[in-house]
Amino acid sequence: MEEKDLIHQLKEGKNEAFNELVSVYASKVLNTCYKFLLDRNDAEDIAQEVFIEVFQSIKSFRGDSKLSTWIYRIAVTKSLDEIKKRNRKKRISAIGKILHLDDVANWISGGTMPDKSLNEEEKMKEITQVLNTLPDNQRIAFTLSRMEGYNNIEIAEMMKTTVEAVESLIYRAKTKVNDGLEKILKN
Amino acid sequence: MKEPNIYNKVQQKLAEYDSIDLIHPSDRWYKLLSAKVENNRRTKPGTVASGIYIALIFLVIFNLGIILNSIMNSSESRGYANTDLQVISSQLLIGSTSVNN
Repeated sequence: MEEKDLIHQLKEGKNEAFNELVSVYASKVLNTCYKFLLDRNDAEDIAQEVFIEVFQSIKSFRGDSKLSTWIYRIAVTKSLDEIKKRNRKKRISAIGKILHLDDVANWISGGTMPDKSLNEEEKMKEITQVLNTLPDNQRIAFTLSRMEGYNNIEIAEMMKTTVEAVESLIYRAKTKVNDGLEKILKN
Repeated sequence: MKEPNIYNKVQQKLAEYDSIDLIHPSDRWYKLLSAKVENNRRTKPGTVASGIYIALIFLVIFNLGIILNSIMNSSESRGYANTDLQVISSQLLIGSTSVNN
């Protein structure tokens, strides 16, 4: 089905169109979320939220950009929101621990999940720590540039900026990531 | 100059990040998504109902406001009446004292 027809049918609320949309974009949306969140369970939840958002707001899609760009933009925004939420929880949990309110801290941080210790986030502890220090635009450009399937033109379209700006963002992010990792790994 | 050991470690970390395995949506994921979408579709009429509820609550608050306003106005007018009476009585008092003098 052509993109124009797909959008038209989606706007009409046709089930088949939505199924086709999911089958085409599910994998890339899921992996984009995963690259940002580094946790499979979280990535699966956020990817579902992305498609629900697409389903809810397809009527407001004006077609200024490609459908894929619009969907991936939603995926990136939702992933960043989740990272911010997660960081906020961590901060509150840390304060709770300082105040010896372990139960409250545990409840706020969503409880202890034993399987989480083995996930990618744990393995990527250092890089996550460094990525958390990057401004959003640098983080988006850097993360997407390290993924297969995104070139700088697409990243620029998603970020509504120029290719040169994306190149500059990636360069600055790369420098910061290298420096940050060096500092962490030295200790 | 950067230490080669640290440089290698940094490159290794970046390589690990780059080589994160691709994941694939499972059947369970697809099923859960279609259930959520279906649920979303079904809850749409509910939004109309909640809109009606909001309108009703607004109406109740609005009416309460009108009632309160009228109560305040009547007490205010009673207040004015009281002041009028006070003025009259004080004038009478002045009048009576001047007669006495």
